[in-house]
Parts: sequence; C-alpha cells; structure tokens
Amino acid sequence: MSISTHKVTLWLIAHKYIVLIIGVISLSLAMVAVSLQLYHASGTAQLDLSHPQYRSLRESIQRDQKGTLFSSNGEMSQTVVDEFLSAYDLETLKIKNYNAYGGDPLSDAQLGIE
Amino acid sequence: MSATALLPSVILYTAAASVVVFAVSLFPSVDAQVQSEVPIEAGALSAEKQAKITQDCTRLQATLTQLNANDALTRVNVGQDYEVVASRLMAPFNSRVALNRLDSVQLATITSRYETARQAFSSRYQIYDQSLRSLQQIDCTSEPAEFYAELLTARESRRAVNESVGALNGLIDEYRTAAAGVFTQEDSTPANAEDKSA
Repeated sequence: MSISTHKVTLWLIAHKYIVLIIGVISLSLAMVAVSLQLYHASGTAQLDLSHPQYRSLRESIQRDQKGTLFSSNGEMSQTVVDEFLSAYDLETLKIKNYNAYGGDPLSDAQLGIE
Repeated sequence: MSATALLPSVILYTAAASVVVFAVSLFPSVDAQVQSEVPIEAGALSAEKQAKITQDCTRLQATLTQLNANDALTRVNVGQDYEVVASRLMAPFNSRVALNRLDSVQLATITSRYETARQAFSSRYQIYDQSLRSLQQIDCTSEPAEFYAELLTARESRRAVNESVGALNGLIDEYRTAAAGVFTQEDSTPANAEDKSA
C-alpha cells in the first residue's frame, strides 16, 4: 500500500461519520433528482391526483375500470362479431359521453374578460 | 497536493453537484415546457381588457384552478378508458381474427394509428397542463399582459388536446366499421379466393 493511499484510509477512518453522512445525502439527492425527472418526463405527473388541490375530485376517479376482456381465442362467427361490437359500443360510449376538452372555457367570453 | 487533501473537496463538490441536479429536477422537464405547435393568434390586449384582468384576478385564478382540476380528472378517466379499449378489446379481437385466418391487416393498421394518437394525446395534454400551470403562476394583478399571452398559449394547447380526442374518437369509429365488416373483408382476400376456387 502506498503512503498516499494509507493517508486516505487514515483520513476516512478518522472522518468516517462525516463521509458517511455526506455520501448518503448526496446519493439520495441524486436518486430523488432522477426520480423527479422521470416523474415529469414520463407524463406520470399529469395522472397523479394525489396533490392537495385534487382532494375533492379523488372520489370521482373511476377505480379499477377494467371493462370487458374480449377473448382472443375461439372461433369467429357473425354472432361473435356482434358480441364484440356490443361490448365495444358499451366501452366507447363512455369515452364519447365525456366530450373531453370540448367547449372553450379559456375563451375571453367564458372567463368574462371580453 | 496529496489525495488526502483532495478528498474533502471531492466530497463537497459531489454534494454541491447533487444539490444542483436536485434543484434542476424540481422544474418540469424540457419536453413539457415545449409550447404548442399551433401558432398563437395575434391578440392585442386592450386597456379595457387589461383592467378587467387586473380587477378579476382572484376570480380568474379560482376559475383556472377549478378547470385544471376538472381537466386532470378527465385526463385520468379518459386515459383509462382509451387504455381499456386498446388492451382489452382491440388487441384480443385482432388476435382472434388473425388466428381464424381472416384478414386483420386493416384492424391492425387502425390499432397502430390509435396507439400513435394515444401517445399524441398524452404529450399534448402534458404541454397543456404545463401551460395552464404556468398561467396560474403569473400574478395577473401586476402582470396582466404576460397573463394574457400565456392564456392564449394555454387556449391553443387545450384546442390541440381536443383535436387529439377527436382523432381518437374518429379512429374508434373507424375500427368499429372495420370490425363489423370483418367477414366482408375476408371474402375479398386472395387466400380466401384461392380456397373458394379450390
């Protein structure tokens, strides 16, 4: 072992708690930074309604809405197609009823700043 | 300089770098900050409109907060429904059609376009959400012009989201038509024509 390595080892032993604390804090900050980047970049932030301002809306979330699972196996006949279409219509009707992001609530008229 | 003397500096620099990275990460991603591709309409802010914004600032902020909450809820619910349609209906139906040696090319093509539209919807909503949040952060009492400029951006971003919803709904209808005519398509496939002639 060289002299400088020995000195480093001695220094680390002498300041092991400080080194440990700084190391742990640095590592955790770096990991939190990466996590937050992923949180925003992946679009998860837009699906996260756990923020305090969404408290009143949480009950309106459709939980575990798995819908009908159409079987990928079996024969094909007009009856099967009709069954599929009725399940499909049922599911897609919900989407259409939302009229998502329709209207213009950000217009001057709607905001009352005409 | 010995390695012993350098070590505390290295540790301090690492800690400082981590703090900087952490602080940067608190800001939304660069992708989310990309503004809408739709050009902002030229909207001059008249003195009268400026005065209205300043006077009604509190009410406007409350309206935006409510809109943000409602739109976020819609995003979650509609996103879930779009996912259900893709994974529990379209994908299994496509498989079943293919396993029965029927023509599933058109269905697969529409499904692929649907997935692309879903991604576009997601990214456009991300842009809109970021725009609306930026708008909420502007103090409309002291900065009505900046507020209005950001309002125009948010308005266009929301229209873009609505266009994505329209595109997805169009593809849903298109898929339904294709699924309903799956036997008609089968009759016209070359493989089936060969079977019939044989």
